[in-house]
Amino acid sequence: MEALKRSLIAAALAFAAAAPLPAAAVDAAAVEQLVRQAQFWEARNRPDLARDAWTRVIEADADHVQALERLIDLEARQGSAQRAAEYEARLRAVAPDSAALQRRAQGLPAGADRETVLAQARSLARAGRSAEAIAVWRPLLDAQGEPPPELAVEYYETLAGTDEGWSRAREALARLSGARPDDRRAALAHARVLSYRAATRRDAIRRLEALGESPSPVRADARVALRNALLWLEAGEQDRAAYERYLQSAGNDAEIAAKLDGLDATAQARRRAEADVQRAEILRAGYEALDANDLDAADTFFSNRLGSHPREADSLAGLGLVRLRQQRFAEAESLLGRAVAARPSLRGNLTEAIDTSRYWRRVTQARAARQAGQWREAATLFAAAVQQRPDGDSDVRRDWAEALRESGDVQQAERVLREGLRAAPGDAALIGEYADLLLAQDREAELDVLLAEADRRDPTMLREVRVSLLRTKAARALERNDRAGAQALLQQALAADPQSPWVRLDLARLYRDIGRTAEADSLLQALSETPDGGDPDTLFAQAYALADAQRWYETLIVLERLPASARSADAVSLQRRAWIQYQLQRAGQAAVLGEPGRAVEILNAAIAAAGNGPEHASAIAQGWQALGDPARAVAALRRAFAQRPPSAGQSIQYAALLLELNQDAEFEAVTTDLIQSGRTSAAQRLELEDLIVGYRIKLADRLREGGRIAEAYAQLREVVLRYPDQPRVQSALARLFTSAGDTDKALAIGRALVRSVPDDPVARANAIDAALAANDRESAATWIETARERWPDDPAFVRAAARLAEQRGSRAESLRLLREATALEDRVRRESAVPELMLIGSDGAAREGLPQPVFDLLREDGAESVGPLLPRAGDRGPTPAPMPLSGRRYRLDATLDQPRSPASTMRAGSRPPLRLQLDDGAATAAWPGRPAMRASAPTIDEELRRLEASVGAWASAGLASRSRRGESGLSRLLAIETPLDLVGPEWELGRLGLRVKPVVLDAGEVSGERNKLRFGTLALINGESDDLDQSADGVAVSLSYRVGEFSADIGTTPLGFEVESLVGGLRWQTRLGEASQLSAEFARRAVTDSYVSYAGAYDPLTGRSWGGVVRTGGRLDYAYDLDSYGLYVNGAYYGLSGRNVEENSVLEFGGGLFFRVVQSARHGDLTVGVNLTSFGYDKNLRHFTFGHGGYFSPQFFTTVALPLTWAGHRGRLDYRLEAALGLQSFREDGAPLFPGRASLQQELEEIVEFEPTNEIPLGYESQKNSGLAYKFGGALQYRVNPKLSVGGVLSLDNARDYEESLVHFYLRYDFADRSAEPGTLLAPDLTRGALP
Amino acid sequence: MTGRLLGLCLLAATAAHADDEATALLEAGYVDSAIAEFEARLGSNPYDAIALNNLAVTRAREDDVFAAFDLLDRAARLAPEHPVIGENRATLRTWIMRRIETADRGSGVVVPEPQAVLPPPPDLWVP
Repeated sequence: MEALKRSLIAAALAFAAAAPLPAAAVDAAAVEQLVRQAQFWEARNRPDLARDAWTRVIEADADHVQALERLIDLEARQGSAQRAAEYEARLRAVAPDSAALQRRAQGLPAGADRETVLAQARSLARAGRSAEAIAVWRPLLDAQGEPPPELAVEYYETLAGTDEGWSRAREALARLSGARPDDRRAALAHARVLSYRAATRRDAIRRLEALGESPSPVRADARVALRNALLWLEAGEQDRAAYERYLQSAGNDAEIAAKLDGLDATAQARRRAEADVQRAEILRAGYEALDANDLDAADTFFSNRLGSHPREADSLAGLGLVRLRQQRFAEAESLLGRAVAARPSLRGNLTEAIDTSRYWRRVTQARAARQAGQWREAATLFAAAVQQRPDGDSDVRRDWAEALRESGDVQQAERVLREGLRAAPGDAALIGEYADLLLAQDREAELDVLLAEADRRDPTMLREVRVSLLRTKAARALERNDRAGAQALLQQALAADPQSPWVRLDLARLYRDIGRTAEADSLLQALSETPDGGDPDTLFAQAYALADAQRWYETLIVLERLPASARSADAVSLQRRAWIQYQLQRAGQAAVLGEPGRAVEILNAAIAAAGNGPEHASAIAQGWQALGDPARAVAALRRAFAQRPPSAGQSIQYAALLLELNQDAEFEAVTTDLIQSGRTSAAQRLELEDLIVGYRIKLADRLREGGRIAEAYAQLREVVLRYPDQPRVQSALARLFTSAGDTDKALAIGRALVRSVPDDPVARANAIDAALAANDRESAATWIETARERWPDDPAFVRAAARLAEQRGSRAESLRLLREATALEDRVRRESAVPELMLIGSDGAAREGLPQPVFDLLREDGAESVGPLLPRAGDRGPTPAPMPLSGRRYRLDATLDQPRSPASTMRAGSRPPLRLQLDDGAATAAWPGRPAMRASAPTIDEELRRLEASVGAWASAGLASRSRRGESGLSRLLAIETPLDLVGPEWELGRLGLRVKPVVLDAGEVSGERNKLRFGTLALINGESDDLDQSADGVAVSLSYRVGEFSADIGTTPLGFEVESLVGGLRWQTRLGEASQLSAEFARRAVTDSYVSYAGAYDPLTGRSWGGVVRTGGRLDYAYDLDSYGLYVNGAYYGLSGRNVEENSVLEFGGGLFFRVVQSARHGDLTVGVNLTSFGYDKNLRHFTFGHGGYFSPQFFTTVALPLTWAGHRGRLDYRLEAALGLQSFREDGAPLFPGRASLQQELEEIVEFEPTNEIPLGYESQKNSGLAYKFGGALQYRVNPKLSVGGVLSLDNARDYEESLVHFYLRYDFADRSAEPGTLLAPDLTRGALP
Repeated sequence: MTGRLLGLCLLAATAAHADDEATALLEAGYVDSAIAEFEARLGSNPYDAIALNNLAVTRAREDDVFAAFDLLDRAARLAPEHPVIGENRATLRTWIMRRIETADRGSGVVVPEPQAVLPPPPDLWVP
């Protein structure tokens, strides 16, 4: 195709040359045509034809420069020098500047042809000598310096190799390739030229890639050029694709591959460089912030950097330095150490910082240990620090010395201080500490020398030392509780250094302690108004003062004024403490405002702020305690203790919580450990002892309630000795005295407590207890009244009111009050337990559809079922009520000698009955109505049951048979009495009782002459009378009434008796104290000694009756019962009268002692005693003749007896056994046969005078008698059920010529449950009415 | 909307069954298991006021009264008209307040008279 094209062009040229043309146009056109033709042939390397063509050009235009130049060359190559010279001459004439001429001038052989030139030029170009090559090219250039067109590409490519020719060559080649788009060589040359310069190399690469892709003759050259360009290229990441494309097409090319690898390395290097720049910037910023002391910023820079580069030495070092500045020495030491490990070359730079960190880390740890009171550990750490830097901070040496002193090594402390002072003689801290040490050891002389030396060195410094000493002395004075001394010392310190905020702080603290709050505030106010008010020290002191006053918000505000640089670790610590405490206040306020949810939320914020550190655990525990959750408080402390052993203060707080939660064992362990550790300050020891006092009181109360009075006293005694002024101690002692029956002492304490702590309900309750026990009802009433006004919901005072009412005899009112107290206690109990909330069922309804009883059961305490249902219910029955100690006592009412008379009947005839006379007190184990001693107060339920039983109604029936041995019809007696009682319930206005008592008396028939002579007036008729049966029956009725301490009864002797009398009595019985009781009675009672004295007899001679004696008078009884022993006395005076019986009177006196030698709930009580009874009647009216009363009436009688009683109860059985042995003596005067009946006596005397032989006595002889007597008896009662009791009493009195026995069965039905009163014998009192 | 309601109904039906189980566990004395059941129910539906109430009841039985109150607070916010929740919350609140009154005297935390609500404190310093 190309050949065809060329042929066509040649034909066209030939045709053109042959065709005729107009002269001018033909000439120019023909010349041009010929030029093209010549060039054509030259391009085809046909110089012969080219010479012909050029020759024709010359022929057409002789001055044609190009033709001349080419012909010179061609002719020269053809060896036609001549012709060449001709053409040269011609050319010189036409164009003297022609390049051909120049080339010739350069010595090219005139005949040198173009090929030679080209070969030379090419050779030079290949040798890289482009400039020389270009010079060689010159002959081939035209006048404009342009190469021949066919050589233009080559020329310009060569030209491009020169420094100055590249641009021209690039432009020319651009032109050429643009003009000849199909000329791949031009395009290649252009691209290659472009590849020579870095700026255009990437353009060249693109062009070469294109040339190398398509198949063409230049493809291989293009690939080569491309490879070169790629090799020359200063490649960047953007060129990676070109290299990869080349390698993909060219295969393995080591150089290009290396270039690509280099590209990767470059990228890495670049990234490293960038990273280095970034790192440098960050480090620079961090270190600049560090230099500017902007620690937060520096911290952020380095921390962030370490987040991504955790091992970067510079960042580790930077953060280490930040931590060092932040005084976080342990972290600093660690970070700096890691930095050196990461880059050992840093060691030199960081050694000092590491040493500093280590030093202060040790110091900080030592100070923390010191703050925690761990003095030995602190001393060890301080020692290590000082060893590291012997010439370090003198404060550290001082602190070391302090730790040594506190751990007991004073000598070492002194040595440390002396060493320090040798190195730094004028150091204020060391001098101060040394002065303090000397002061503590009272080495005043050495202290003076020290201060004088210090004064000589620096008076200003000495002032500080003196002020410090004064503060120290003041602190010690405070430890001794010498507040006045401390105040004086601090005032001196203030005078010495009025500007010292710390002195002001100390003094303000003292003022506040002693209640001079205004002055304390004034001092602090002055502190804030001083010119140094903004001074950090002043602000800090002010903050401490406010913190002392628990003004936490103000503390925080003052601390906010501290500049950031002054926010030391202490300041930060104080701020955190104040913050937490203030949050606790806020939580407390939220709670008070009724927002418990918010309270807990705020408390949780405080907990978060406190973190897990133990230092704030106390505050958090306080917070929970304030919210009423001591268990969480304990938990908070325990968590803290798990991390770090508690400080003494924390242990004390923990102990207090344990005490509150009744964790007694742990409390004892904690407090014992604290005491033994000796790590408590004086103030803490006081605090600890305060807790122990509380615990001792609790123990004492527990022991006291268990009846272990002596052990309780042992617990309390030391406490009382140490803290006699504490109201709670006094209260505890009062309780103990009350329980021990020492009521006077208890009451004395109670009175003092009411005066000293009128607002203390516990003290008030104790005082009331004491007053009630001491029977000081007036005080008790007053105190109860005010207490109930002040604490209306406190059941203790309602209960006290109930006790008072009972003491006043108003058992019904007492019952009402007790019920009120019970309701209050129930309410308190309910309120103290977490309320039972309502579940909501799946139907959305509360569990309220259950029947009420079922619902109630579910809500009962302890009713909740736990675990699987077992086949058999456990023993969940009600726990038997503890046996009240009072159960071991029994009432005196049911004594064996119930139908006691003022005197026993005298044996009929001349021998008087020698009954063993025992007083009530001797025959009984306790006084009626006296509450039994018991160490612990009965529970309110016990009280309730007891009172309910005591105010309940009852009915009883009895059958008593009393049999007295004696002379038939005279002193013999069989009395059968069947009292039927009905007693109503007790109301607040009292209670009524009705008794109907059928009585049958049988003395037998007066028989025998001797007896008949001693009966009535039968002596006047020599005893001649029949039908002298002495038996009678009747029914006695009586009505009884009792209100409070008073009781009264009125009734009759059995209606139907020969003589009927109105009888009754009025009785008042009161207690004078816990152990004392007094009773008084005015009564008119039947004298039941004999048939005559009781029923009255009929005298068949005179037709008149006589007898039916009643005694009317009063009696006083006093008893003092101290539980284990007691005494009693009594006195009485009665007048005695009867129908046709001489008037008589009697004065009685008695007393005795008793001892309860055994008191056992299981085995009963055994009581022994000694009793003295004495009485004397005005007249002896013992006999049965008219005018006599038939009752034993000696003029002097005394007996000394030793009674013994064993009483108790087992289960439902109550029992009592009695025995007494005595010695008695009496004297009775002689008596006329008919005393007070002078006419009868005169008539008798006349009869005797008239009939001196008969045996009719005129009277009765006087007599004296002494002898032994004894008495046995017993009572047994069985409770069929809580309301029904059956019982029997048996007794036997025996003396010389005297014997009386009594058998008494009874049945009693109570309308109330009496099971609360085991041990109480309920036999009816046969003497008085239905009410005992 | 309808689909959402249907979903809630299904959830409620499932939850009701779970609630019955938990209640039965609680009544049988298996308090821990009951708590786990209630919490599981709340895990699937934290806005279940009934479960919140019942969990509060359980917590209260464990003497964890503040947790119980918090639960009741949440329940009351979700179901302010529910009488049982309201009553439970009022009952527990009254009891807590009474206990706070009693305990406050011995805690050592001095609470100023509530003349005005104490302002929030400044920021806690970061050591």
